[in-house]
Amino acid sequence: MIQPSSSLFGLGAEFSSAAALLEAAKRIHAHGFRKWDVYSPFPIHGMDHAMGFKRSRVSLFSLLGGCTGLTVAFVLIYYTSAINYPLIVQGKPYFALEPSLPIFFELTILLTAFGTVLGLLLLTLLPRLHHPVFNWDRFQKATDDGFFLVLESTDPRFESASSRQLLEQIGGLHITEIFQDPEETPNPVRQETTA
Amino acid sequence: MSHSPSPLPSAEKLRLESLGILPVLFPLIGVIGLVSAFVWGLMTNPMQLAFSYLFAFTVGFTICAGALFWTLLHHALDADWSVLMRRILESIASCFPVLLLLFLPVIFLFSRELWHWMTTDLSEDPLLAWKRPFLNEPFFYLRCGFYLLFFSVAGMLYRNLSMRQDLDGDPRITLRLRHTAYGFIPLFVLCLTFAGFDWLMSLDHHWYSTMWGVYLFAGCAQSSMAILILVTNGLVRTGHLKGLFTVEHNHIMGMLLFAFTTFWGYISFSQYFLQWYANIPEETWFFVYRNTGSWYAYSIFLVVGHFFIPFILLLTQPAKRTPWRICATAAWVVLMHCVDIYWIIMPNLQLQQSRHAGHAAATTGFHPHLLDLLALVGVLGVLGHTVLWLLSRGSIFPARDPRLRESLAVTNWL
Repeated sequence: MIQPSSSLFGLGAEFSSAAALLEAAKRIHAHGFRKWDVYSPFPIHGMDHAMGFKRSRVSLFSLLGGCTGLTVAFVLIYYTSAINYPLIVQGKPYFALEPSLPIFFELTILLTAFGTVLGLLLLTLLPRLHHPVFNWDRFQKATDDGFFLVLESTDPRFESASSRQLLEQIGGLHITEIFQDPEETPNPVRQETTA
Repeated sequence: MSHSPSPLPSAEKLRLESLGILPVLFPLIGVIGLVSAFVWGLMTNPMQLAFSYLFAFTVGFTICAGALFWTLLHHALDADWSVLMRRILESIASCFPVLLLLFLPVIFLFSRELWHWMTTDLSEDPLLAWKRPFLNEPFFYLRCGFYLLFFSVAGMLYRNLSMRQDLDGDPRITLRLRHTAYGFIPLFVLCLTFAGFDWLMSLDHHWYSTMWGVYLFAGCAQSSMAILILVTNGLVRTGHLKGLFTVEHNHIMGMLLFAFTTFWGYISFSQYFLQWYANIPEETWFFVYRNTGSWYAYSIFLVVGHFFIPFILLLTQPAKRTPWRICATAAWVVLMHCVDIYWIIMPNLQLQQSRHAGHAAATTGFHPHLLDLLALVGVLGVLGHTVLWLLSRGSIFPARDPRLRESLAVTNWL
């Protein structure tokens, strides 16, 4: 939920290394924040544990995809070979489990994969063309050598002044307010000189 | 490494007194089972005894062969996670000299009861005449000796060199075992495949399946991984490997058990599928025999119990990370492995019985016999005692293996 009075997206902080970011994530998680994220140029081992991630719900989509695949395969084979165009081949029954199993398997696997990918895109709200973190120009380093943590303003525990203090305490550098509107995000250079 | 490494654990002996009655139970049931089976069986029903004994021997043999496979694979792939459990695998794989002794009754007492081709008149069986260059008694015994000698040498070599490394910590032993594994794996595959052809497939010498070796192998790898899970967790329960064995090790072993459960399902389906499709008489009889009478229900139970039940039981992460759940599944898998070997061997007993009674070869259905149980308990008791004795001879894990630290710190990134 975006507060109507403000277009503040959140508070970003940069960290010096992957280890520092991992430590910061543990501290933020310990403070009970829910809406926040970390950004790094590469996956950091143990980060999902540090952030307190629960089991991903992607597997639910995988299961749905798999069940759809199995059903489609059964209907496809049974309808075509036993109902619509029954034909005796090599004295085998119109419908038999043996030759169907590989097709059951293949379609189950295929639609499981589709379900997984689609579920991933749905849950991560991808694809999207823009994200407020890109309004912060230091953030370009996230694909090179920068390690970032962003607390979002929609988090119930977010409070501009105290959250800034918290980020400073845990070693955040270049702490910056990020706005939804690129025009509003302060120039990072000015931010640093006034801070 | 930036942080100072924690000191490596020192060697740990097996404390037999913590194992309760097991050290007494194994030799006891081994002797009682084998002696009673032989006395009773030879007096009343030698042919039943021959097949029951082959069943029990094959269960023991496949579990030990699987342990040898995992040992060789560990070295060939330079694996780190399995170092902590490797001594257990090496000890199981070193049982082959005992299996060699246990095979002697098969050769000297039972061979002509078991293998119909040894007593068939060639003029009545032109198919067998074609197979005679391979299926003749001298060559058969020579091959049996070769398989069991190879397995014995390989198993003992890996255990002995690993035990020597416990003393001197020489990393060159690790390299030497790795390089040996590259040569041993093809030999292992050939020996296991042809042992399967000779001992099991030739029980019905008209039947053939090109997937027989890999089918047997799938059962070997799956059942010995289940045994490894049971032994390791048993040791942990009795206070061994304290602070060394973690839930991550159980998770990895559970994943491998899951993988080989799926592999067995894939291979056994493929074998059935190809023969169902081709519909060649010599091939389909194998399945016709096993779909006659109550064997049909037994075959369905095999498919459900050997594949579907462990597949579902092992699907989730908590199932692999909770000790009692993974152990219950592993015990079930071992039981189903026995069911599988029984399914392979026992219909052939009924074929032999009907041939001896002068009828056409046919099966009648699943008729368990007490001799099956006695022989199985006897062979497993002897092997269990051997494994405990081998384990108590040194440290229960390779204490100076260069990869021990990696094995202790292993994690699955969830």
